[in-house]
Amino acid sequence: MFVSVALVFLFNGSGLSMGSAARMGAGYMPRMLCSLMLVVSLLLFIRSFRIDSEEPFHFALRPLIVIPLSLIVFALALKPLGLVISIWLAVAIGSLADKGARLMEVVLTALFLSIFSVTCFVMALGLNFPVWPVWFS
Amino acid sequence: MSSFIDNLTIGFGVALQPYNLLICFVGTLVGTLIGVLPGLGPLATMAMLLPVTMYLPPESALIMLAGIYYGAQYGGSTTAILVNLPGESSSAVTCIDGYQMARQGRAGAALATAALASFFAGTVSTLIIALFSPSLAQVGLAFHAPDYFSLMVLGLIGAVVLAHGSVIKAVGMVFLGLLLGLVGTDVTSGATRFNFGYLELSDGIDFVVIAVGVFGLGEIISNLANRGVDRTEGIAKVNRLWLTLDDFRRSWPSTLRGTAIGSALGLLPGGGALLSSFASYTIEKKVSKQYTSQFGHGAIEGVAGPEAANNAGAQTSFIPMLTLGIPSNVIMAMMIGAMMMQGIVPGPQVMTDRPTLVWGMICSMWVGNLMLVIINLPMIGVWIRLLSIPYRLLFPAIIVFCGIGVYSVGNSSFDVILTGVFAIVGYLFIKFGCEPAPLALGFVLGPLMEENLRRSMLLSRGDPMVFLSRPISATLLLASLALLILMVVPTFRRNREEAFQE
Repeated sequence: MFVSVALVFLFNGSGLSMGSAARMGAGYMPRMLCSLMLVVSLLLFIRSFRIDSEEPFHFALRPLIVIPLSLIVFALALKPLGLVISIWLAVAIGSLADKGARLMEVVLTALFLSIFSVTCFVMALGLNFPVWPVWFS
Repeated sequence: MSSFIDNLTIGFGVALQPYNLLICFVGTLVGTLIGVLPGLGPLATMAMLLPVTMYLPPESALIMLAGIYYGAQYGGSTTAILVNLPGESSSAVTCIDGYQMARQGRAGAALATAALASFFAGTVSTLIIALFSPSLAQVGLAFHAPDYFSLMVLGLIGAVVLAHGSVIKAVGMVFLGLLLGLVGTDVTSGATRFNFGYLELSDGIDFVVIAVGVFGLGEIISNLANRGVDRTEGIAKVNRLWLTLDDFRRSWPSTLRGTAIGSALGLLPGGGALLSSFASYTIEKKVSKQYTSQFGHGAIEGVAGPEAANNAGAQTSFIPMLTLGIPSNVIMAMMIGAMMMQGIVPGPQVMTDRPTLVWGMICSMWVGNLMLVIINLPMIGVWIRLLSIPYRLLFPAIIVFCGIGVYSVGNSSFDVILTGVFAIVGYLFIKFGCEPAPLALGFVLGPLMEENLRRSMLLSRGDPMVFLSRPISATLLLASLALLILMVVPTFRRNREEAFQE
């Protein structure tokens, strides 16, 4: 609970400085919102003293790091390396999020996904994707 | 009345075009397909598929999204009945009695009840939409900037009331959403705000990025963290898919009541499927004298009522969206997002300017509901098999589809990376007990609210009394105030907490 309050607080704090940085007309609404958010976080902060439920937080760090990571790798790989390789990378990294991953299954999933994506998204829907690495075609 | 028939004719003309029929079918099918998977509700499904609809003409895009919505909604009920895992919050109620029926070997009857009750509710609410939308749109034309602003305030407060957990946190989420909505170039002055030095942010954050990141991927992380998703063990067997005469006799009054409750509650800001199904279950429990003891142990009324209500509520919540351009819940916010991506400015003028769009979508809802019955009852075996796919094979697929989807919206790798960041944020929200729905609503309404606030202040030369001197605006603000006061009143608060416990 306290950690959460601190985090929400931090969020709002940075929100405030952003608000005062924006100028004049454009900054009016943001500044109003930021001050309202400060009030909210203050209320939360006060309440956290009144109700003290010391609940320990368990973060599932593994999926929390791995899933966004696989998406980011996918994003970075897409333009230079093409869709197929990006999918393999994303699936390989993504499957690390779960301890029960088996190599064979991962390979099969990636294979299925790359075939499906190329036929469905690139051929059928005509989305603009590089399928293979740039130097390949 | 004649215009009513004219409108329906236009609508069916659009909805029954072979291409749109196909789109509608694909939408409901894909919606059901993904909705059946536990942990993925209509919201995540729509978020994932939103980018794909960008490539369709506006009519077809909205038809498809609507199809995905009620498809996923229905798919969630199937999961609820068969494995006691709600695909999303509004089918949580169906779990209570539906799963008990399944355990007693009456899974088929429960599924059939759910399908027929939903279909009936869908038909009635489609008619209601067709009857009332035009007159509401007329009312909408009388709205000026201050009224719109107040209406949005009401909508946001509604979202807060309905959010789970702490009210203050929900309020905070609304503000955060509004703030995020303001990222990008200011329309009036052209000033760039909060772009943190990234050129990519000067166009604002795409709704898809937030939706996919927070609702799609955030959910996946939390599912993986909870490990409560191993569900292959408890799938109930489905036997006969038909109802006995007694089942019929018992379920039709509940269906009627559910439809009425759902249609009414769907109209409220913040209302929709979730509120409707909870309300209906509570009422069914009170009304049924004969079978009260059976509730919680497989009462068919407990399936028919809420299922009808959530479908009716889901559909009538389109009314404020179509007529006023105001989303009453997150799903509608998603629909508004889709409309804006198609270059349509939501608001009362949509009704008159684009009759084919509005009526085509309304009629396609009925067509889609019919398709749902056809898709679901005979093909139930396929859905059951789908339920037994292990989660570890599914989630990499979801990641890849999310990546492709987000990328294809703006051909931008930056958007995909940003989605990854919002996935982390989404998980933190879930962890901290902050419901992300108000955030999404605030995000969509942010720019609209700012514009209307500015315009009203401009009109009134900076006098804030303009919000109180206009009757429409004053009424709406009063309603918001009343809702807020209700929240503070202890008894209502307790009721709300109890309702979410169930």
